[in-house]
Amino acid sequence: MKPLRDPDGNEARHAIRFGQVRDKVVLELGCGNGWLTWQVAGDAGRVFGLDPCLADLQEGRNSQPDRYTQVWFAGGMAEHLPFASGIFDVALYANAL
Amino acid sequence: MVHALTESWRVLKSGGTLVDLRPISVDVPLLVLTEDGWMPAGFPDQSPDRENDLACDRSLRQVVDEGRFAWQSRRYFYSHNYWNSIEDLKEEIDGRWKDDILVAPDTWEQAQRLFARGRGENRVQIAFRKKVSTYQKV
Repeated sequence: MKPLRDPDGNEARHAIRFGQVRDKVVLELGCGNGWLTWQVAGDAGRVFGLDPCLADLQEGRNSQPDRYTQVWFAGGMAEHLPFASGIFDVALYANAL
Repeated sequence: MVHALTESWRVLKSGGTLVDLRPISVDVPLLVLTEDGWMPAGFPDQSPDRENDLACDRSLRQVVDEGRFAWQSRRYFYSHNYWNSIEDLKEEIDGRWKDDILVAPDTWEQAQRLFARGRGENRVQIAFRKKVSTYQKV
């Protein structure tokens, strides 16, 4: 059975507060299965989750809550980002650096 | 790692924020939670992850020294994780965390003993110490 991970929401709370993500465009690097991505999405304007593991990304997509439509997942490496320069407000590494 | 941080710098807007949230390799207790309260089974050894921790710090220092980012803030906190059985925790440590955490045999044995002794719905808990640091794109 999967562990109950951070049920108090401390990680998301700190990422949201210190990243000042409210209404911002956020890139989460190494997002895995989107566990934190969805929590950040509640505050952020738009969130892009990037991870090299396609199975994890699919799990992330499948767990999309209906109310969040401004979230996208993409396969890729943090060393070669498939994005133009200067488009994100926040780059978030959560347990991923 | 420096390459990834440099790429992050590239895609950030001017004044954008880099957030680094990660566990720090300090030993925290493995607790068995029962109806009677909590009992420590021992301290998992997180020193195997120490080298990666230091490498992250070095990489961040480098991109700051290069003038790409300016350090903004740092805060420490705990992130609690719970498992329904010792086997579930073992599976995770032997899998996802096999390069990061070592648990001594006597700690596993003590955890099993405490778990078996507890009544009701027992759980195992590790509260990881984490830090969140922010840097502003210069």
